[in-house]
Order: sequence, then structure tokens, then C-alpha cells
Amino acid sequence: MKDGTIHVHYLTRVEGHGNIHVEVEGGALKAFRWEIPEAPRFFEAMVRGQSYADVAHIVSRICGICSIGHTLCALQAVENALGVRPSEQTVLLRKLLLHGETVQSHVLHAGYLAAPDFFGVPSVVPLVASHREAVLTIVRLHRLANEWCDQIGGRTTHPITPVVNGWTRLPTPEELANLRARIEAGMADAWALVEIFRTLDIPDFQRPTEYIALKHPEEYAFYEGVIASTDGDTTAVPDYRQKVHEFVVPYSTSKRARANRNSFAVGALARFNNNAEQLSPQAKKAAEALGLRPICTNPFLNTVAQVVEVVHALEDSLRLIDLLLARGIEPEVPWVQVRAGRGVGAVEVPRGILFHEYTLDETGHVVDANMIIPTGQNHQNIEDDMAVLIPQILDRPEEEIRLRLEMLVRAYDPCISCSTHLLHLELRGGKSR
Amino acid sequence: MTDRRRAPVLVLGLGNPYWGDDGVGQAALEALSRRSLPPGVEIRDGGTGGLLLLDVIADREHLLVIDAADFGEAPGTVRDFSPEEAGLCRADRPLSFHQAGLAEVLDLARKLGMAPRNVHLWVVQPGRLGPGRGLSDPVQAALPGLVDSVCRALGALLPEAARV
Repeated sequence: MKDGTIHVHYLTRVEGHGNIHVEVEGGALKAFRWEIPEAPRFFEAMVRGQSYADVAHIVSRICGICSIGHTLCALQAVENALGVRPSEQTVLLRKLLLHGETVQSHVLHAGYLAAPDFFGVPSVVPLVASHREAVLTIVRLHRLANEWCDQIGGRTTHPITPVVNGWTRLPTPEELANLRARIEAGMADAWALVEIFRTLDIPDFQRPTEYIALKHPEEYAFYEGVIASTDGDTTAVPDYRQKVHEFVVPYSTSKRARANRNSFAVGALARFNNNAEQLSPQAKKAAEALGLRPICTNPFLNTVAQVVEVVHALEDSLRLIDLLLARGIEPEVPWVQVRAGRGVGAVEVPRGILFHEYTLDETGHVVDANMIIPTGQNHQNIEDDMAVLIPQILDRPEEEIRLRLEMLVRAYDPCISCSTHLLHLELRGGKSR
Repeated sequence: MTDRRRAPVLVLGLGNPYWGDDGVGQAALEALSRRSLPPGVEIRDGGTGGLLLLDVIADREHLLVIDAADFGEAPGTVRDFSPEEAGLCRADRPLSFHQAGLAEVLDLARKLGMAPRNVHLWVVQPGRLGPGRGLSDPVQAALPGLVDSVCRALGALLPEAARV
């Protein structure tokens, strides 16, 4: 492109708002920024003074997409503060619920928000006509995930059944068996999704990156583990502040984070890069079919890693349900003894590792809270990717540069703000009351 | 296309109950759940789910949505209208998803042939938007009238809903 400025104001097809700003002078890159102009969240302040029992329900409203992850992370942190160890049954059911959200969110992102980039269309709407079967596959997977979260969590989003040290309602063995049958049937659609992504042309771009994710000795970690880095180090979850260092930049209201380098990445690709060996057998086949190998340093492939994780979440859920059915569903009373304490929770939500930390007083009320969301952790990495990518594509037409940068940001599946939403309307009619 | 396992009538409340008057949708659902509703009506808290709502609204006969919206009138003002009247139908525009998510979800559902046959929206002009639970006085005062209006609409749909 010639000299000038590219400014993408309110990038579409991401959860929230973000701006991309690029200035070119004398044929060279002069300045660029990834700006998040949204108002900061206030949930850390909002939970102060609240009872330990209410925290998870409140923070589930931080995000309309990863409300289950926020709920489970808050429960973990509160349980750690109270010295409570939930039963194996509770943990298995939480993992099953979390898989449901992973499928829900990944299908939404890969299918509705990112796929149009690869098909070269502005939104999923034209794909209904040109690739109707593909869109219907995505809709069916989405419905399965919604029913799954509804069954275990009591609601599609903002779950109501998971509470500190247990559940307000447990699924019956019949309900679990029924869910198992539906998940098993959904495997065909998950493979259809793999096939769709196998045919897509994904930009080739590499930048050596530090990838951070939970790691567990026995499974592909989503719900528990230590904080692992592809640089080779591990950190215990309670010491997360020693690994993840938050900072702010003046042109963005969202906090950023760095660890060993100037930036790091979290999310599906980070999990894959740290834990690929532990994927379920079918997910390993899916990764192979899609040509995804660790350590993959192409951020555009994060969406492909999400597709692999859809297969994993489905297959691993069959294992979890078999375990639950084999041991039988035991009635449990979510009993808690209140005490003062500090606790940290860490959960892999669809967009990456999420941290919650609470300090409780002796009556079980929150005196301090800290949350680090995945999208905040990715912001600096997105900007560092742009620093390498922009000079590589500067000779292309302006429109192509703009699209490529938008696509890069969307590949990270950023969830910039779902904590508030408000419809802005231009009324052309209607009755006043 | 109607999924027979699904209630043919869905009342969907949208918004974030921890963001002041943005919680008016949930508050209206709570009030509605205390009234006696005809069979075939499902009440659901849609939160801020955006595209996640596609499947929730799919394959219904009637969709009734309650939400907060800024239309520049006095706090607590309630309006109801069809999506067409509100200028919500914006075909082939990119999915932005945060603010006008419902418009895009409806558009996509329509193209997929799974949109509700009839959609009606109730919106309330907020007085206070910001962290914290609880509605402002004018929005709280508007609730009974809002819920009456939704109930009347459900009553009018009932003979049709019972036939499905």
C-alpha cells in the first residue's frame, strides 16, 4: 500500500469491540496499535463484601460466552480459600460441564465468526446459501452443546446447579446415558467440522511465541493442573502472580500480561502446544488430518486447534460419563465450614487460562478479589504478532492488509467485553406506553 | 420447521442483572414466573449470550423478547414493536454481535429456515447502567405495566399456541 493510515474501528465478528490502527510513511511501518476502547470491568469491586456462596453466580455474568468457566474458576478459588476438597463425583461432573462449554464456544467461534474469513465472505449469512450443509453441521453441534450445558448446569449459560463443594441438582444415570448417546451421535458432526477446516486455506505466518496453559499428569488439562509454559517451566496455580505479570498501556483500557518474554499466548493453540500428547485418540487423528503439530507458532491455526479440541471434548466426555455411570451417582450435601483464607482457581476456558483469586474474612465474605481473563493475556501477543506480520504484507493492497489483520485478531477469539450489553435502537414505529 | 420437544412460545429476557437497569429483562422474567402462564410457554434468561441464542430461539412459533434499550426517552419508558418496526433487520451485514446481536441472530435464523414465525420485542429505557444489582426507581415502577403487556400478548397467542 502507499503511505497512509488503516484504521479498523470496531472490528466485527469478535465478542466486543476492538480497534486496529496502522500508520505507513515512506513505504514503511511508522506506528500501529491494537486498541481496546471498552470500559474496564468492575466485577472485582462488585464481589467485595459478598458472601462466598454468591461469588460464582455473580462472576458468571462477566461473560455471556464463558460463564461456565468463570463459575467453575470462582468455585475452585473459594473452595481453596475455605480448605474444601470437592468429591471425585463433583470434579468429574465439573469437567463434563466444562467440556460442554468448550464445544459451545469453539463451535460458535470456528463456525460462525472465523469460518467466513477462510471462505472469503463478510459473515456466516452468505454461507447459508453457498455451504448450507456446513452451516447446518455447526448448528447441530451448537444445539448439542447447549442441551449438554443445560442438562448438567441447569441452564445453557450462567449455570445454576454448580455450588461450593457440590451441586444443587445431580443428573440421574438415565439423563447421563441419554446425554452420552447424543454426544456419541455428535461425533459425526465433529468430524464433518474437521473436514470443513481441512479444505480451507489458512495463512502461513510464524512467530516464535511463549504458550501458556494448564498441564496435568493424567489428562489434557482443562479443569486442573499446574501452569505450564512451552519455554519449559511450570508454576503452581497459587503462585500464578509469579508467572503472569499484568501491566497496562495508555491506549487501551484492558489490562495486558507478560511472562518470560514481552508477551505470551493462551487458548486452544497454547493448550495443544503444551499437551498435544494427551489428546483423545480421535482428536489426535483430527490434528493429524488437519496438519497440526506441536509446537505450532502460526496464530492463525488457533481456530484449527479449537476444531481439534471439539473432537477431544466430545470423546473425553464419553469417558467421563462412563466413569460416572460405573461409580454410580451418589447423593451429596454441599457442606461447607466457613473460615478466613485466600484461594486461587485456574481453569482453561475456551479462550485460554483464567485465574480467579479471593480473600475471605472469617464470616466468609470477600475482602479482596483478582481475576485475569484470557483475552487480556493475549492482547500484547496480538500486537507483537502485528509487529512481525505488517512488514511482511506491506506491499499488498490496503484492503488485503486490513483483512489479514482483522483475521489475525479474530483467530485469537478475543472476548473483549460481554459483561454489559445494550441495544441501541433507531425506532421507526412501535407503541409508546 | 418446529421442534416438537420445544415449547412453541419462548419469552426471552436479555441483559446482565449485575449491571443496574440492564437487568430489567431478568426482573421481568421473575415477575412473569409468579403469574400463571398458559402451557406451551417457556421463560428463559438469555443473559448476554449473543450468537449462543441462535439455537435457543430456533424452531419456535413465537418469540417474545424483553430487553433494556437506549432509545432516548425518559427512564422507565416501555415500548413494544416487531423487529421490522425497530429497524432490527439488517440483512447481510457482518455479525458484530455485541450490541445488536439479536438482529443478526434473527437474520441468521431466518436464512436457516429456523426463525420463529412471529417475533415481538419489549424494550425499557434504562435510568442507571453500571455495576451492581437492582433497578432504578423509574424502571422498577415500569415493571408491572411491562409484565401486564407481555401477559396480554401471551393470552392473545394462547389459542394459537395450544393448537401447535
